[in-house]
Amino acid sequence: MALSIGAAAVVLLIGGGSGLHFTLRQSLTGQFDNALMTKAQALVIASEVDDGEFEIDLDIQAFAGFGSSSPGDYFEVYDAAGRPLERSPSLGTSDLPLPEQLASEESGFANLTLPGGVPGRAYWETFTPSDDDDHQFDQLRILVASDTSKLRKTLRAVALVILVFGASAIFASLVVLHFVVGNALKPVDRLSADVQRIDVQRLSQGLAVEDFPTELQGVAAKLNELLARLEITFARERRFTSDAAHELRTPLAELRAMTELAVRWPEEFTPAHGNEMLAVLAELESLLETLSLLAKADSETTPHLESVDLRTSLDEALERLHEPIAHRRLGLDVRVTDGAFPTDPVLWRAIAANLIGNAVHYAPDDSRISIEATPQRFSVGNEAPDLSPDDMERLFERFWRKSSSRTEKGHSGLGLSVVRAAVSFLGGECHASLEGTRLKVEIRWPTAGA
Amino acid sequence: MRLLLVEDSERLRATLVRALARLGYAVDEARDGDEAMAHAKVNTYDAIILDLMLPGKSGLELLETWRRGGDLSPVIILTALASVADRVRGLALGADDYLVKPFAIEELAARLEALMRRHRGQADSRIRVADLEIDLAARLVRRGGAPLSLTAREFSVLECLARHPGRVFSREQIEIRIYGESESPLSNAVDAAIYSLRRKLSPGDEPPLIHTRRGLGYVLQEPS
Repeated sequence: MALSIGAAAVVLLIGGGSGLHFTLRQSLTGQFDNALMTKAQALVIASEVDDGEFEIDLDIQAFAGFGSSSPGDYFEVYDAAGRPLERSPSLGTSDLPLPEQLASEESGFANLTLPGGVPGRAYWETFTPSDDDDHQFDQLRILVASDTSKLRKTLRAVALVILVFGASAIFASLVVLHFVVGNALKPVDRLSADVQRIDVQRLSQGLAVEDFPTELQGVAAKLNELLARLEITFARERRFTSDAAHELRTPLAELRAMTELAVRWPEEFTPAHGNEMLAVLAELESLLETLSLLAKADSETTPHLESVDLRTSLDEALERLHEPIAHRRLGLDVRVTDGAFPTDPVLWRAIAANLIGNAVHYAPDDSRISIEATPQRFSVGNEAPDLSPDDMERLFERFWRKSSSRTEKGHSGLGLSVVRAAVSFLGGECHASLEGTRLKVEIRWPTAGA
Repeated sequence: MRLLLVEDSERLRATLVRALARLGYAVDEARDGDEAMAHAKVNTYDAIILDLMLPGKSGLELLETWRRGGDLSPVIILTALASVADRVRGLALGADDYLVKPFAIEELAARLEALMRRHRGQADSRIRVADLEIDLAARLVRRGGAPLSLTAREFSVLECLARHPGRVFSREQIEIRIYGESESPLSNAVDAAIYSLRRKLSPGDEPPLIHTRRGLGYVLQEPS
């Protein structure tokens, strides 16, 4: 950064310096030319025709600076045919070199080389002496020239001054710039270093926002917010992977042990074993289905909400459980608010199926199951004589079961842990309570706008 | 060798009991913590296979209770909890080994064998008495270099005697080690197994290795 600012300053110096030098040269040259013109006009005024002779007053010549003592200034007057009529004493007997344009233009300026080889500048104009009544000296030309080596020297000195001062100014400003930019960028450098130090395994640690100047606090806070969201996503992913692996282990262990037994001791294998193996496979399949649902929840960062009709969706869930409900003579108390509510239809179906399925599965025969659903909450209640208040939190743990009798009915699936995962993905809360011997699992959905 | 299998999955438990019985182990089964406690109270096991996620008392709670009560039977944990933290917790509470589901029955058997061997302070899985060599891990028996074919029951009886060569075991002592609680062997089952074992150990005219101590029981030792 400091480097590019430095390069810009050098370009600026070269551009500005040349500009300044050019302007100065124009102005000095202008002054020089004005002086030449003034001298020429003074000489024209001082010219006279006396007794048919053209002459210029010597005092005026000396006054205008063309005396023999001023070697740098010259003039020469020519007649219409170009023959020299008069010349300054400084020229002695030699002539001034004639600029090319002298013959064609009435007046003008030109650069030329003066006697002695020094560089000079000249001005000429055409005039007729005022008292030339006989028109003997019409259309005379006067050429005035001066040594420009002083002017050149001055301009060179000015260029040198610009160069030296400019270069030192650039150097000084670069040094200052370096410190200023360095200081100004220090917090940015620290932010960059801090960001690089962020541990991928501990994203939630984030940045210490208050350590940064106010201009950067917003950036740091925003970064922290992004990191926190990333952390949540990662945690969900890790949890899903470990949940999935965990859920698959027991049925796989069963299947593997049964298969090994049958392979190693074929006489142990009976059709009943085959059916058991098929049952494990069916459990694995339903597990896979549920895991796919959760994977869907995890692959999307925000739930895909659609309007779902409460009653229709619950009727569907109950329809699927029709057989066990009838078989076990379970009574249903269903209270549903008519109308639609916004949810992810696939996850909602999984939640309803799991909760009602659990209730149907674990409720004692001939007992009643209560289902209440409104757009704000959903609850399922069933008799659970073997549960105690201490079990309420553990209900949602993976693999937790109150007694072995619960496992032996072949109930598979992820149960309440899946319900909780899906509900929390949808932004709701899941709560289990025991009133007497009655278990109630309640879900509260986030209120709109919250 | 007598084992206690604590596992709440009916299918896995039934399958493992059959497989372990086939491998010559006597297995008592428990489907929850209470049953496991009851079994462990009245019996001494050569090893316990323990699932962690149990209804009621968890496997870790059982393990803690046993270890606090001075029961040092080797315990191998068999569980779906695969994280390092879970393993460490199990081992820290006094488990001797940890096997994550799913597993190979063969590996479970090999680990059980190693566990019991370590428990006895034995470095080698092979026991030699005269020219008889018993490989407990591979479950192979050789006499004079020639392999012998034994039934699981016969092997169990031989293994029981071979664990302590020179020590006399009563019929009841042998019975308790080779039959699970659910099995009710015929009264002469041990005698019958000893009889067939003696014949198999001396297929030619080799001197007998299993001797009868009248009124006391049986002993495996070099021919005198």
